[in-house]
Amino acid sequence: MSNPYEILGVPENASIEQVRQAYKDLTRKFSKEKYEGNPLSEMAQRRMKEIDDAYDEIIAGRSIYEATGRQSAGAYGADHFSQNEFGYSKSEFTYIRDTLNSGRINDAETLLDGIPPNARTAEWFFLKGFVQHRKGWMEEAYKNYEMAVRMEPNNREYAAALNNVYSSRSGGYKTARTHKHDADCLGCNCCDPCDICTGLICADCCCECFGGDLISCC
Amino acid sequence: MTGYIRINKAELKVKEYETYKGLYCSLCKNLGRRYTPLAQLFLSYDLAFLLLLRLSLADNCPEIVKKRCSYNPTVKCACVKEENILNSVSDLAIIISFFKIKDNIQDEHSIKKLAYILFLPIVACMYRKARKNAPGFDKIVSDSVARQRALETQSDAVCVDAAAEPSAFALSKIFSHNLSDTEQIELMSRLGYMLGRWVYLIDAADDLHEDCENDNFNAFAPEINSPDLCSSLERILETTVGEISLAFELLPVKRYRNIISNIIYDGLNQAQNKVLSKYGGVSNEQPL
Repeated sequence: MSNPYEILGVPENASIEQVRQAYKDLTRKFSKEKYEGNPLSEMAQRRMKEIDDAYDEIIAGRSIYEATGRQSAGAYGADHFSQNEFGYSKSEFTYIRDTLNSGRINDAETLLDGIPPNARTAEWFFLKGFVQHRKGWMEEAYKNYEMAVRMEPNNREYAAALNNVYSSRSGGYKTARTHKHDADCLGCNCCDPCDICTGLICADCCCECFGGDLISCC
Repeated sequence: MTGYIRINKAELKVKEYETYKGLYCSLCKNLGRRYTPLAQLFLSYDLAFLLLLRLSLADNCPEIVKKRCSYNPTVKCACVKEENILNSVSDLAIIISFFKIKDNIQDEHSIKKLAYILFLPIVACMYRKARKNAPGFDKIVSDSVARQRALETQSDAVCVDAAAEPSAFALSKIFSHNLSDTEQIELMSRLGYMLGRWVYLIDAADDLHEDCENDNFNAFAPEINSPDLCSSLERILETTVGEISLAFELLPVKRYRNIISNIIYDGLNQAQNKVLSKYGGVSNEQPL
């Protein structure tokens, strides 16, 4: 798929507003926060890059006047690539983080399990949760993330991971479903002032047929 | 796998419903032709979903032929002609059913057991053919059944995640079987894993009371008397569906997107509500 319109899922004659809306929806859908800790995060980032490029390409092709809105839409996608997955801090678990970053999940888990229970800090619980999240053990992951957050409530990294699992627990994933509405939106279901006027005039015509009058001036 | 992965018919467009029905019919016909009409008993919605996903990733649009159904000859169905994918899903259906029947013989104690025992030799015949056709699937399923047995008979307590692992792992292998693109493999493995996990968990939730009465293994058995059983079941299932949706949204599907998202976002939810309504919490209301 190299057609930028196809990537954004809009028709080629879409207005700049539609393109911008599609771009916004997609960046929200594949945002880094959403895939935090998920094994598919790299792929989501690649998809984000594709979407960014597609958006840039479309915008570059349109006139200067239309393209000025990029700033506001871009805010969602701005810092997706600025941070390394584990770029927050150096720590005692650096080695384990490196192992995880290179994708050796099982090795990392063995290393983690080797640490005695009394030396297990908030970071240990976070990393353990991360490993389990990758493996798909969502319940254990949730418990460990929760533990990490309880031990260090101010850590942004832990809180983001917990929040992610928590939001899908309560059904937050349903908001990701943008495609369902695509067809509806393009068909323009929404009611605008024009529709109201049309409706009134129609109603007036009907009334006049039966001898009454709704709008007296016409 | 017992047919939890269904469409939510009310939310589907008619053309999409027809397409889905067509896929289901093609699978049924293929089972009848490749094995015997008896094999059509093993048809399930879960396998139709697998077929749907695999076809949605295929490069070429499937060729469609109108065929009559032998059970309802007045209706014509739009069947697909993708022999390779259809054949492999049929093989899988036979393999899964064979292991399921064997499993039921071990678990059942009533008159049903006799029926299964009488039925087994016939299925075993089909299974031998399926095993020859799809040795890969046979290995995946038999490994998973063995792991599940070992897990259920061990004496230590098993956490929910560990209990779901064998089924989840098997489905992740099945979903990514024979794909060539590395991105697709990764996504389909994750999707399969989470879907397998969901199916296992919802099945466990569905059979919780029955299993406890019969003293069979159930992943949720330690929680049966907890007051917030329903909400904790719901949370566990919703988390899993959330992960399914994350993987699905990244999947480069070429067709059937609306049908698949209908199943993931509406169908799974409907099945979930139906099961959870047993435990009181969620109302089983149908949307108007």
